[in-house]
Amino acid sequence: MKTKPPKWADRFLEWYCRPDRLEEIQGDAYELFDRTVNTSKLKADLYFTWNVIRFFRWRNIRRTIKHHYSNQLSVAMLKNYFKTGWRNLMRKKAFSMINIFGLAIGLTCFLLIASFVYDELSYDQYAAGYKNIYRVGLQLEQNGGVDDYPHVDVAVGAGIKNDYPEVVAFTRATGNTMDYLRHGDVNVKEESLTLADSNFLRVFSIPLLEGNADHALTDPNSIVISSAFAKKYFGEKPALGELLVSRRYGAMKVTGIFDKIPDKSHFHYDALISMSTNARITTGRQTWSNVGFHTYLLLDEHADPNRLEGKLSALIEKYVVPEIQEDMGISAADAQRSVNTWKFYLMPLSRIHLYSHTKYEIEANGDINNVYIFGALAVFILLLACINFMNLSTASAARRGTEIGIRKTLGSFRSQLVTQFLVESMILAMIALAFAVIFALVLLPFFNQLTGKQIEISFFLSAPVLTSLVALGLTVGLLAGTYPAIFLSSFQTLRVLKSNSPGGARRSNLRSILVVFQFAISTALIVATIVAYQQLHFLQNIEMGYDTEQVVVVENAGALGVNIDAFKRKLEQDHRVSHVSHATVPIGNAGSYAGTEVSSKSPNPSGTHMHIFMVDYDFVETMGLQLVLGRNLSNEFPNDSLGLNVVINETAMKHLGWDESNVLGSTIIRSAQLQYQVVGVVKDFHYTSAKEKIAPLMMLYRRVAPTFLVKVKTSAVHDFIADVKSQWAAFHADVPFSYYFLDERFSHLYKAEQTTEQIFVVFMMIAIVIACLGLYGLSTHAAEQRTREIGIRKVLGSSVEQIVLLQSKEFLLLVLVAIVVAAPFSWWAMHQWLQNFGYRISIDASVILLAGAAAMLIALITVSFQAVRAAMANPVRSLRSE
Amino acid sequence: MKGTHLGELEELVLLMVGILYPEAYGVAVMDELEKQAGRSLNISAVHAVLTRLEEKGLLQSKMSEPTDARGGRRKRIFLLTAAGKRSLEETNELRNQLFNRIPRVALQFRMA
Repeated sequence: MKTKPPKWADRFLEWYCRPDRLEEIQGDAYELFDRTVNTSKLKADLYFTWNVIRFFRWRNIRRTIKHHYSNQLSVAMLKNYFKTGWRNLMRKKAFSMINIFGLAIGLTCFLLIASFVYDELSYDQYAAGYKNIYRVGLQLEQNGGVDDYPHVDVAVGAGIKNDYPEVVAFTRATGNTMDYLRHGDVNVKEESLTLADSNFLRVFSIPLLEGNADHALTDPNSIVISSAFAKKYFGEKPALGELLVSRRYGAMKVTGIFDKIPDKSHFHYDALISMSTNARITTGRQTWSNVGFHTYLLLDEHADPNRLEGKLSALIEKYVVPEIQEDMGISAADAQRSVNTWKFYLMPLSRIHLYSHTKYEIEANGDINNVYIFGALAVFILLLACINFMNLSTASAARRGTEIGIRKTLGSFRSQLVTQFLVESMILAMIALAFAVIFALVLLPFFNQLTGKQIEISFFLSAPVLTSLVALGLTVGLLAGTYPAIFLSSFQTLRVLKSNSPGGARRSNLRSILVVFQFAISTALIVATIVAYQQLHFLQNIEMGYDTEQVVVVENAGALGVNIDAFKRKLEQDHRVSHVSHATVPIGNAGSYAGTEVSSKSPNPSGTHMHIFMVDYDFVETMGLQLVLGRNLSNEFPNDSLGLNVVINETAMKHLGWDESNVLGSTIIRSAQLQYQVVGVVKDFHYTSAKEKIAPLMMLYRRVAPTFLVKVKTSAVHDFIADVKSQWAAFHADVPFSYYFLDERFSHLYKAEQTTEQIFVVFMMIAIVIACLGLYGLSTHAAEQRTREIGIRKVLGSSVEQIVLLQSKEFLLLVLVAIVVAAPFSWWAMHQWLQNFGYRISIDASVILLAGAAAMLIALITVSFQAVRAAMANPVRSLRSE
Repeated sequence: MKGTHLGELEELVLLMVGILYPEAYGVAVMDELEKQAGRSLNISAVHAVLTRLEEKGLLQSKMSEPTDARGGRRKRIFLLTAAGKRSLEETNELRNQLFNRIPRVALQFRMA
């Protein structure tokens, strides 16, 4: 084969050169190239390029030609475009379906994720003045870390408002508060109550269905409730003016009813109780140095929140320092030093949901990173679908060769052809979009379940969304249609008419790259899914160090009061129970509790943060923990009963710098007044999610512990629960019986990982389906192109296997490249993900091999489907027509 | 029009077109310039001169029959026009006249 000059330089020349000069100039350049190429290819390339650059002169540059006839889009032509476009679609129904379906899947994904992102971004915007509402938070350094509180002390709101005139109003709420409410027979534990200032409803623009929003929360013992709440206690009877009896505050009068707090809010209180109900808050000492009140400021429209935030440090000098000085009885300088790291800060209301990640939020917030990740995924999948579309359109070019040739012969400009193909791709995109909207609406409930959102169908039917949908369709059509349009319209008239093949069948580098790209993503997602599954499996089957099965946890035992021991004895007497223990157990709670600071008593003390469990003597046995050293706590030792002796875990032993030889009898110092002796060491056990490393722990005896752990030995657990419940009632506890199973609580801890895995699975499926659709389309097309070749091969004696192999080889090679590309990347990404876990699996090569094999198999099935069909066809049929 | 004045390079190119008759095209003219006058030019410069001369009416051109060389592309063959021929004659004549008028003595020097 003759050597050719560098393609891009040649293309550049063809692009800029005026057509009437192109032939001679290109000819001369080629001649010079051919002459030099015998000595050195590189030299010839450089020489050619240099010449092309030198030819780039005004004299040689293409001018825009003014045509004397209309080049404008005319209605007649547009009609023709639609007609031919439609006929083309109909002629190859399967091919068009693949094209449309692929795009529709991509668009569906995009729509759903876009609605998720939009939903996340539009939190806390229901209040009329939300742009001017800020929450006051407190940051301070202690115990070697930064503590960030989303709430401040009782006096802060009023103090800021008094000192700075740009603050129009402040309002406070106490966050989710638990209480028991009763009306008649209904006695329920309520978790989402709050005390709120009288202007709370107005600041947040929460309308009341009944009652007066301005005064509803003014009087003591007023309560404003949601309609669902009203229904729960009062049924269909009018609730306004009725009484609800609270365990803490006594009788309260219902003064207002609101529908519900909007879904997109960072709090979802079921009922608001007037702040004045708690007299200690309104009339007690107004302090600054504590936390607990979610305080919101309504600023003047023209106020600058940054400047206000800067001024807040003055308040620390003015109020906090004197208060600490007085409370602690220390000098002003010492007080000053202790608040050095304190900082009041303002968080815009609408940013709370995505940007506030303190440990003490009212509810679990969203995360801006998720929004970014999902957004990227949405765009990615849409891109994959567009790539498919481009691939399939260019591959089908061969069929359009004659049409393009004839159009060109009859005087079409290139721009007209481009328009024609763009119109076609937009038709396809709009059809795909219509399907996508239908799919999205059908899938919405599942999507809501997956994401825990409440996006409604009406969201998709609102005018702005519909408009942007149309815009999206047109954009996608343009995006996916541009390359095919330019590619198709560039065919040379004579060549396509003569051979009926514009060269669309020849291997296009771009197309290969796109296939590689698609399969690389699919493979990476398969790897991600496998790793996520393995990790989750690993976490759930990790050796916990004890038995979580058959343990029933009974909550709120404190409500039994003096009957606590009687209740325990009752349980112990039951033949179905093997052990009972009462303890404060953070077991199974993904606790935000960082531990208490302690240190060891030794010549060179080492400190650590320690989790403290308040347990009774039966705890170790009930949970089946293994003692490795020393003894369990027991009522035979007075110091055990006083809570001065402790049992620690192995991690605590290591963190405090002891080993097996010296740990027993050592002393742990909590403060000057509080010291503990170690009497026993238990083997490490996972008392919270295995995502976390096991932390240091000590257990000490304390009688007032609010939870019962009951180890049962029966399969009829539900009968047992019913019996316990009736016993509970027999003790006349004024709170309802509530319980859970320990192992269920543990599986809840991995909910986030389960969701991650599900999301991976969904995205993997979508990516694979899209990639396969693309590959299927391409292989169909390739088989079609080679019908004659296959016919001849068969006549000459090729076997079916040989022909299938011949056709599949090229695609499988691409997939192989994709796997090689995806392997290191996906390994790295999942390795990063695994760093989040305290205990994790290692990714071995078999995972990548498995994913690769899966991708290969999927590709093989897709390709061979067509290849086999082509290979089995009777050669007479394909050759007869010649 | 800038007049019929011929630049030095233009004159050379015009001469080469004459010499190469009837096969004068870009690359050939460039090679001939190198061979006869020792002037090494870029092909684009040769093209520029040729087109300029054609615009001045001193050259005319036509496309050749395609051959297998140059990827089947045709060459643009340049020919002298009557005006080109006259212009060459005039310059040649002027140069000879002027040369003859140089005093003999001025041309007789010795290397001192």
